[in-house]
Amino acid sequence: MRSRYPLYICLFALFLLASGTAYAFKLAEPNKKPLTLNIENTLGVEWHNEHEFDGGTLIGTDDYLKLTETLTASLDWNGFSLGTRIEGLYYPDQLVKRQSGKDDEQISQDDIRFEKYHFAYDSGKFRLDLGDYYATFGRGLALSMRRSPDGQLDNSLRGAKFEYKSGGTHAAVLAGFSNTVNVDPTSEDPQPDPNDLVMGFRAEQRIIDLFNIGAHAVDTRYGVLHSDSTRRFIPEMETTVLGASLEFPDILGYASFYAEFDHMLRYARKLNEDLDDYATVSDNGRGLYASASFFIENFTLTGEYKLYQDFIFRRGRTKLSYNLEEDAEAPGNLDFYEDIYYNNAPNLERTDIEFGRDYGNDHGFRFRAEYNSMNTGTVPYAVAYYTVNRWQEQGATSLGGFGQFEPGFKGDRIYHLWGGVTQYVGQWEMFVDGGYRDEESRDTGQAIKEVLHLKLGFSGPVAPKHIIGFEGFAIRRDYQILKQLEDDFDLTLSYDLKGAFSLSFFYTMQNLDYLPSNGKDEIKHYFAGEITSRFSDIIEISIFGGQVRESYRCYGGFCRKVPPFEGLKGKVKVRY
Amino acid sequence: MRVKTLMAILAFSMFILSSCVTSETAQKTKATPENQLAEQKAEQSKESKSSDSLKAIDPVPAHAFSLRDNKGGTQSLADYGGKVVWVTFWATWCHACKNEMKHLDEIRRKLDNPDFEVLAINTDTPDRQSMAAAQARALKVGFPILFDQDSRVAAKYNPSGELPYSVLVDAKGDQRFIQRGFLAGGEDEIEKRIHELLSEK
Repeated sequence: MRSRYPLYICLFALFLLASGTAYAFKLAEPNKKPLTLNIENTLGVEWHNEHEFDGGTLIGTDDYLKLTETLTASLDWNGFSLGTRIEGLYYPDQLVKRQSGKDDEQISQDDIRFEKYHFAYDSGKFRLDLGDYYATFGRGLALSMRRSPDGQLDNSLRGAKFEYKSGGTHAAVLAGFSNTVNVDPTSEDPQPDPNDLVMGFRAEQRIIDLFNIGAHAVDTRYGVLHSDSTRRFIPEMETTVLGASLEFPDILGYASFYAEFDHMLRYARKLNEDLDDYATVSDNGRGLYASASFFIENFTLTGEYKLYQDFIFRRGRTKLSYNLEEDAEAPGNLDFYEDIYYNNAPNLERTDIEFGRDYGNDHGFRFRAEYNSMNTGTVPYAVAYYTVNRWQEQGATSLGGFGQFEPGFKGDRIYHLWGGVTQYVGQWEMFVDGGYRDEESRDTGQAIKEVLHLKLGFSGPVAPKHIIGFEGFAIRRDYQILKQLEDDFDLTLSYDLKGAFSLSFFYTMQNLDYLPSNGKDEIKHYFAGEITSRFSDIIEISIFGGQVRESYRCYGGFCRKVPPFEGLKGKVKVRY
Repeated sequence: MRVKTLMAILAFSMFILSSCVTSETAQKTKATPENQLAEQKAEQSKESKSSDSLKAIDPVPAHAFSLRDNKGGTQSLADYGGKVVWVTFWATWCHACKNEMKHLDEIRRKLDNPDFEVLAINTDTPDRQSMAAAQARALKVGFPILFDQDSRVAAKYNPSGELPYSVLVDAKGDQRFIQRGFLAGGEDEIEKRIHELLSEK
């Protein structure tokens, strides 16, 4: 068994570092920027009370303690930068799955690793990145590897990227292996890197200071596997995308326009029944996205159109590509905890992203009308959406990794209207926001879902340095297909004593009912509190205690399931 | 038993740590539970509901960047060398950010000083770029709006992703003040600090 002493030593060293033994320096040279070293260390302690593992079916419920550690360090000097982020996860008591007649299986994994590291040189005209870097081409149809703090994703490529920028010319060439966050902040579990190989190129040119044209190519080779036990499996898939874009950012001050087209060649390799040979099958896909905006006084009208046909771009749970022996399971490292997307194509409010469905095979449009006031006192706003999606035939299913939820219709319409007003009086802010959303089947007219929401709140100082805040949020979701009604109410109260600490209280009520009501409403209450104190610019301590309900966190066209939590979380963040 | 002992040790360590440090300033960060219900709420969880006043920091060089602007060109921080620059991060869903930008535009017009500029960096994901570009145009502010499409710049300046988040950079290219969140009424102090840095030139 692997010795855990190095892990203990590393964690202890990091804990000492978090305890205030700072090492930071700046070295100045004449006429040059100083060498600067920045270090930030976050130590977390979590106690999970009666946690349900795998819905309580795997090993039931148990209390457990977990320590997390994140250390980021960067060194900058005259265009050079060097940085790393180390992440660690440690379970004082290992969690074990016990099954009668079988050996115990350890399900918690201690982990410490260099999560990200990079070296960069930026001369202004040229930039070279080595190690981990982010990359996005165009509107993200072809490639978008980036961090999304709200989605708790941090996807980078590990390899090399070279960029050239001069005047109206911008070119980038890159190659690297995909690197997700290994201690996933959403699932809070370690997960492997996909290590898929991504290679790409994009060039963009501004023409007569009026419009931009761009062209790109991206090749993604999936399935570089890790485990010896998976040697019989072969790289399963490859996508090649060729695309071009055209943008008019400002047309006489009244309009703007963007269009991008991408053609995808998609290959899948299917093993034969004996698992000793494979055949390559291919498919063509395409993605088109266009948007136009018009500006008249305080009104903005934006129209967007998308067309995705077999435009599938993720690795994820692609077991379908394999001909497995009866009762055999695909190797674990094919079954990622969370999917990774190599792009972030505009999805235009697909209604079913919560169900884990890909948006790679649909088309539709969205109109958005918006009113924004330039006033800095009373600020009204109103937004109206009209979206139509038509889901395509699932032609690419045979290539794997597609579709989990098949409703009885092939498209939807979404009407979404919301608005509100924010009032600023001195340092006080008051707001009210409400909206209505209706979703219905495009071809059958069947009602899908209705959502009503109302939010209001205020915040401001009751005395110098004493700031209070209140926010109430109520939402009703009428799932008309599922015949289910959900009412949620959230309340947040906060008190901020500047120079000392801030205190927050959270309450959530969830009420599930069925239509017609079966008389058994499921009402759940969740309470939580958090105290945060920031000492100077160096140290921040926060303690969170209470309950958090299971939920989906949706962002940018995809959703992630956030597990429920009950217990305590403490964090000490130290910056140097 | 071992778990409880470890918890006690860690809790005690955290207490000692907090006791050893002089309390200077503090502020609320993310006052939102983790159980967000919908995309709108998930996004707004990162929106600061309270604000630090401008906080002075030890001067450190501002991270270099070069980004696309709302006119289709490319702008670098280096293009504003020798100027005092207010760098602010915003997103389409962040009302406080847009309110701050309106106030910054007022301050900028009032100062009318060629040695001062505001750079507003949008942090939306690429699938919202069209919306972001439209809103940038609708705000009618006089300063450049830049797009950090691959999140590289925000990762350097503002790793937590909390919005709004602003940095005041002096004429030497050093970060001198930071501000988390924005509350109306703080404009006077912003203006005062800008004047201080302009007078250093």
